[in-house]
Amino acid sequence: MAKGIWVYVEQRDGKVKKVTYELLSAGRKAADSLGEELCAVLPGKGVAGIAPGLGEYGADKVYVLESDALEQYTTDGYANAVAALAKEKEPSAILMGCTVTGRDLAAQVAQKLGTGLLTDCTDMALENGQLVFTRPIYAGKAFVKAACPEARPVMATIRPNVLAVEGTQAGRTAEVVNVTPNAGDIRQIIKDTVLQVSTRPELTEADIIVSGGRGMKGPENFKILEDLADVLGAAVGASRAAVDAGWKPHSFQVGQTGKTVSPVVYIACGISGAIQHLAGMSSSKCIVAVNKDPEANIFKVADYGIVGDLFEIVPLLTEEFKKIMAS
Amino acid sequence: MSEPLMLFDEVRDAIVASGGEEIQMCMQCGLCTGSCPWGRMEEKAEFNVRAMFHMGRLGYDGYESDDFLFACTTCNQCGVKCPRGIKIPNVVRSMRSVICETGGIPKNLKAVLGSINSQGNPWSQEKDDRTAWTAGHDVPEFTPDKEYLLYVCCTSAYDGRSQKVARSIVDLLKAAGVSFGIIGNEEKCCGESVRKIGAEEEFGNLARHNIDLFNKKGVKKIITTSPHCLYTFKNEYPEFGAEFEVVHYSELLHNLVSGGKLKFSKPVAKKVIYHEPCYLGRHSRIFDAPRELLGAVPDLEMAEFKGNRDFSMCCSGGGARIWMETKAGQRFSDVKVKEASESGSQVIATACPYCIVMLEDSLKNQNKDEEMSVKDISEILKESL
Repeated sequence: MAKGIWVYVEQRDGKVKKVTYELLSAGRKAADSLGEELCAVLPGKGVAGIAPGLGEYGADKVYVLESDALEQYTTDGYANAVAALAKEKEPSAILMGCTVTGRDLAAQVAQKLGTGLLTDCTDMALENGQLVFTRPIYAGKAFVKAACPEARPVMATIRPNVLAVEGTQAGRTAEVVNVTPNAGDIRQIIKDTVLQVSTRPELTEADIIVSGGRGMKGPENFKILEDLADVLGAAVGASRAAVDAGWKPHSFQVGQTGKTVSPVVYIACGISGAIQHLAGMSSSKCIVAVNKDPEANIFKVADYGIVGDLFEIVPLLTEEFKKIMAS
Repeated sequence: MSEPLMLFDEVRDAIVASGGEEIQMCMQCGLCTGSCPWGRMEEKAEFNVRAMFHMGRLGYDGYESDDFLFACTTCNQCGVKCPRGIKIPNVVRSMRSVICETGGIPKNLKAVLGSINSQGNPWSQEKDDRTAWTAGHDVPEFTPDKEYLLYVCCTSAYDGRSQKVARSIVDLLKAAGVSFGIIGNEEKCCGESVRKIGAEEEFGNLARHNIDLFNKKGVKKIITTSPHCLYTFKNEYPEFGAEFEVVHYSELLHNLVSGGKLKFSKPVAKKVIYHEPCYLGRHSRIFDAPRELLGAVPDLEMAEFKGNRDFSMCCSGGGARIWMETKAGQRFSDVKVKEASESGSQVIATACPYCIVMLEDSLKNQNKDEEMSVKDISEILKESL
């Protein structure tokens, strides 16, 4: 007879994701009603320190799967380890967060266990001794309530931020059970993890944006815009033409088909002002345009226009602002 | 990443209830997908018309995604081929309206609907600036004694590039002695592309507003600058009780030339290739008027795309795609620009403001903007007056 509700502990670099606590809180209530134990499953490397503290959020027991092979998340390694443990212990339910990792892992584990999986759920409740999950379909137009009446374990991924973290008990500790994980063959190799780091503000949140268009002539020239942006504490943007030319990634694109922005000040450099661009920025409070073509459309929406070579003007602006900001 | 498949029969009922009953006639032959321009792009796209019909009928979760349901440009290439005669763009519209009701439309389109609601145009521009294109140009106002209302598309009213088209059309109508005028700031977007988003409510509001306004002003006949406005005024406004006679400016000018009221005398010695706007050609069956107009210009050398008339490739700006991003390698307009360039043409002529926006962008990203230009046929005709 299958017993125990499991929650997969999602962590990165030893930091537990909030959705894990949400699942533990909800799992605690279900476990109490069913008279079962609540277990956390914690694969990783150097993560044992996290385990006892999970008791505060409701876990009775924490299975720690420590291994060098599980240092970083891989589909094969984690799925093999979690599925092997589940085959041995036969839990009645396994819950995971509906995150990039959770979605990937849950599907693999469900397949290995030959059980069903309810994905992308927004609620969980007990009805007649069954866990019943709510999941939205068609972009939220309708909801279905679904349960897994026969196969065990019942598996589900639940969206982050839909369940509350409640009933935490400070000082309550969980029993820690160390398990030697069976990570099996791992076909994925993590070569490098790249985090996008930017010290400049987010485009859509910035008070000031310095944007460049096709008039920048090349990717290397965005340096002068970045210099100006850094003096002003501004974000850097780009027009579709500059993005199309491959000078900036799409995440920099301002306009109808990119990001809609309305900063206090928008400085458009070498941007002609096609309607798609205007649709994304004309609600800016103050628009400054620098363009060598006096006929450019951008001047029609600009509050201040500078007709001239941006390669001369932008560095001058940077110098002047430096002086003003310093004083 | 693996995910389970979920089926929902209720979805078909919702699509049928939104006017897409023809989805049930599809026999899954795949001629639609075989003719769809998405399949002819350099980079493989996810979009597949036949599969979308199949998924919609069974209610697979996923048919409604941005890259699927909202990828269709409603160019109607599939529609002219469908052996069962299904009006495919209309089924796409009804499928989208099911999703639009839930608020599940692509993010960029939400800004468009916001702008439609607050400003009456899709470009997030001030409603009081709708007539800014007339500045310094003598454009008559519409009064009940005028024969025609000239309805200028939002894009030609607000986009600096496209404003030139509106002014050229005015000059041509004046030269031919047509009795016409504009209404201006009280007008709202025709709503053709708004309806293609699936936004039935917004479309209904626009249609009722414009019909009331036109009736109040005493409008009987309308000239449109865009084939999209033509299509919706002619085919969709009558559902709301409209009884206007609607013509695209190219049809009207063509009649004027045939009747000897308009003559082109100045030579335009250029090789011009004609790009067929889908909503003028395939949707409205106007194939000859623009060609014969260009043919009436002295010294102009006409060229044709390999696929033309019913088989012309879309610019990728219809069906609200003009407001969405398309990856390089999947842009129809890039393919058209390449073909135009290979034909040795100096000008790509067209008769739709969306096509101009899309083709000009492609000229730039293909670095052909020095050797070629995109012109509305009205601009070429005006040059020849």
